[in-house]
Amino acid sequence: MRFPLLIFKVSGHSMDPTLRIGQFVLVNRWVLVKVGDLIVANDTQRDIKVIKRITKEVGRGKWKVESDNEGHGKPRVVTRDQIIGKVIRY
Amino acid sequence: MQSLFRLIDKIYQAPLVYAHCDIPCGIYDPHAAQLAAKTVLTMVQKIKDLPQKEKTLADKNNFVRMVHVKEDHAELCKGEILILWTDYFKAEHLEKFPDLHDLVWKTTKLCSDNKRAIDEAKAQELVAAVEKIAEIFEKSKAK
Repeated sequence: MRFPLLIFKVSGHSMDPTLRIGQFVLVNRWVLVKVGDLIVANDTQRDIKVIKRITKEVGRGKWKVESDNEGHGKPRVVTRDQIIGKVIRY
Repeated sequence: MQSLFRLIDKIYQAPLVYAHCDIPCGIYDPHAAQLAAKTVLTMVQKIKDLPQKEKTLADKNNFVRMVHVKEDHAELCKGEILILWTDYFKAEHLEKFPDLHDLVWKTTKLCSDNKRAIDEAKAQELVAAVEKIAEIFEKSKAK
């Protein structure tokens, strides 16, 4: 069984002012996500992880995610299998 | 809390999580566009079902709200299609699906038409056009 908690370091401005560059976030892999949560998700094409906020449930196991910094980054849809976990502390 | 995280980071280097504006995150899905197009159609149908004469205050309120939702979702649909077009589809997809450019262009025009008008035929056309783009998207993902 995998350890539930992970720490990531934020890179980029798209989640300002909630998260700043260099800030650390604690992610729980064992909790269910919902609208309003900050989540870390796997990029499906590149070997990177992205951090976004869930703004809408758009289908079964599908969520619309956006940046907190308006105009920085476009809304996307992520699926349950792409989500690594929910940010529980920052 | 950040001090504790920094201490942990010294022992176990925390991986980066990207919050970049311009980095293509690679997370693409036509579902949001499909949902928005269907919402536009539903709003047009609901608006047409409203009483044409002797509207109550509630009818007038619903009419305004439905128009608002229709326009919002037409714009949302356009944005979602343009994200796929500019960020996801590549030259190799155009070679494989030669009518893709024309289809995207017509679909975004349909979004504008639906934003402006209350026309069920146009809304049906939009849903069908977005479905075609979604099919191409699925085919492009297939290995």
